Amino acid sequence: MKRRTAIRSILTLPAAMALPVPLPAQVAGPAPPPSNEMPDTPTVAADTHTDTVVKAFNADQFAALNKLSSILVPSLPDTPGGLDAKAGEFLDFLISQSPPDRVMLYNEGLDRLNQEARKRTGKPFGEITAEQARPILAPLHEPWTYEPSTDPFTCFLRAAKEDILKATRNSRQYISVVSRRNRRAGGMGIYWFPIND
Amino acid sequence: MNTGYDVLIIGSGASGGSAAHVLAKKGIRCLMLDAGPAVNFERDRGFKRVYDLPYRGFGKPGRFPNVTQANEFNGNVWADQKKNPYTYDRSAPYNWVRVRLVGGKTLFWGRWSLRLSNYEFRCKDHDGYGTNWPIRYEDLAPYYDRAERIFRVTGQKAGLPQLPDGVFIEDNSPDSGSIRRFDAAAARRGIATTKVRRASGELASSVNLLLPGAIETGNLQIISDAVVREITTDPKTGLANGAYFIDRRSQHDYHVEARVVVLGASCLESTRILLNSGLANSSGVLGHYLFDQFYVKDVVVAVVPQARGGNPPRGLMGGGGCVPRFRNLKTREKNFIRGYLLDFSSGSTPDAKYFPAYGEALEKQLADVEGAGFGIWAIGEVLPRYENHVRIDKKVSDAWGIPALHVQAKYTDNEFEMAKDSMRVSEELCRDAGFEVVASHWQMVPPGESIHELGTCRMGDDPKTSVLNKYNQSHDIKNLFVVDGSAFVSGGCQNPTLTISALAMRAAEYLAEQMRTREI
Repeated sequence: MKRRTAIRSILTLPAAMALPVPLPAQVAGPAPPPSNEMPDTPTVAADTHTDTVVKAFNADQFAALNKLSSILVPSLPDTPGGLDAKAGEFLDFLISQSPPDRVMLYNEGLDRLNQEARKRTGKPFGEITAEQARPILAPLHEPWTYEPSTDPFTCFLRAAKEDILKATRNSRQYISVVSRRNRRAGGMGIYWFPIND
Repeated sequence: MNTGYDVLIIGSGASGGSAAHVLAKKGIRCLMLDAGPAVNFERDRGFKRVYDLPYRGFGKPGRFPNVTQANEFNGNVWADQKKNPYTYDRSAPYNWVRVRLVGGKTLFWGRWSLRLSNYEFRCKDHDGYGTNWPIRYEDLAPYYDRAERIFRVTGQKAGLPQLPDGVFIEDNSPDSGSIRRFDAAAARRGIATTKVRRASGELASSVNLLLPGAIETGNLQIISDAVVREITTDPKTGLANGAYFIDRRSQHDYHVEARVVVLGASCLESTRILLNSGLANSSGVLGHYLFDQFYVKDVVVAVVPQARGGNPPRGLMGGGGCVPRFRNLKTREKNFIRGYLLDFSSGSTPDAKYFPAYGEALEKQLADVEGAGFGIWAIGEVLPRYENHVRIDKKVSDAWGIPALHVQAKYTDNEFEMAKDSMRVSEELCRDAGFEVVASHWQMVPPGESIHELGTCRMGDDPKTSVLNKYNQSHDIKNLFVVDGSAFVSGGCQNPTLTISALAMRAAEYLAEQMRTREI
């Protein structure tokens, strides 16, 4: 038996039908008259034509997150970076819906970036250069360990590195450029819809 | 109205599907209940781009705190943890990973199909710990043959007593250069390697390999969305006579009757049903001896130096294999009993987290190792212990009002020492093969995460210390059978699905004969 035939043959019955005598199959009526052709209205994605409303972070924190995105995943001549991918905006949305410990990790981590930047340069993190940020981001140059660091700031930087990279690589902006270069359909996966919910 | 069924089968995955496959073909009229809906592969899934998902592939935060396998693409296939709660002590987290769909976890399993050996079936004879199974490898071997044919297992014979050969679709594919180097490094230490033994085909599930044959006979009907609350018994005889269930969507209650009840609802769900029914526990061990197999994911991540530069030489990378258990076979380790296997693969790109860099420097490093990675996972035996158990948590119920499980499971020194050893050996093998070790660790995932939960309704010859006899039949109620992973006495480090299927077919053969001779 071919697979599709086999799968189609797995006909399950709702309980109300299976236990009593099965109902006779309904006879199909005449086909409805052809309907007018339905229009296919073109739309655009919100994030390509509008600005998102920042929810999880204050202005200083959000500026620090955007600067961090631009440093950790910079725009390269042929590859979009974190800013191009609006990684900051996306992470603001994601963190706004995250459990409290994740929200705290980000809030405290971004505040610490600003504190460290002000201490060293007199400016918030969002206004310093990548070179000035280098000593602040020193924990990212330490070797990987499985055990999370006991230092919350290091934990934040590692989480932010992973999140910004993923938010960038899974973005429309990044995938459209890389797909054109590789001639492959990047970022595609099999999605499972809610099943008979 | 609802009489006339010979056998009620609860669950439609590897165990329930295997039992139905045997029973229906013998002319026995079966009704199968499954707690979830049936999948329509054309309607229920489709291609999407990750950026079109609401969370860019991150998934909704907090939706699946205990299912690390869940991502935004497959999030809708896992059992909803709010509707299907369970509890555990905060100090001992347990990841109970469930699929509530017709076909169960066989819709998504990893497909590794390995036989147990007498090192497991006669484990106490070998090292003095625990309990022997009431059966030997030889009792199950014919059913392994059948299961391998059904699941179209590919592999290559290796002649190893700790991992018996099977009826394989012969895998004669050439190994890549990196795999040959790893195999040679293992051989120099007297450690055997094998090709992966895995079910093949586009889909290798109960829904395309087990159920269609049973349905074709006309002897199997399946009711989907049927959440079983309890098994019922005849007050006069004490025998099982059916089950109460609730329709998942309408919440309507139903009762179905049958001459025999076969439980194959998955390891912990079957035990939960029995505990909620107050049945089959004269021994007092129902729910106890919970174990699984621990994983150390990415115990070693290495790079093949000759593959650096982003363009590995042809034939160097790709493929994978298995290091079957090699510890405590002819010698004895000082720090632990039993053993583990290693699952190795070549050709991945190591994750960015392993590189202490960011920005353009990180991009250059990642480009340099693209496709040059060599990764290993360790899968280890967890000892069955009485204190690791499940019980009903009367304070918590699921969305259908059915009391939930409390799970208590912890790993102990034997597992910790084994995990450490797996890291040491993996590092040594990689270095001997000439690979650069990028990262290593020995931290096991929480109990349950391997989705290889076993025990809690174990087999045995003695009704005082076991729930089932050697045919998966309740010692207490002769027309009640439990055919899933809960029946395991010990688990080894081999993925359990093939053994679950073989045991279920063996139990079903026995049941059919008992019914034919009117013993049941």
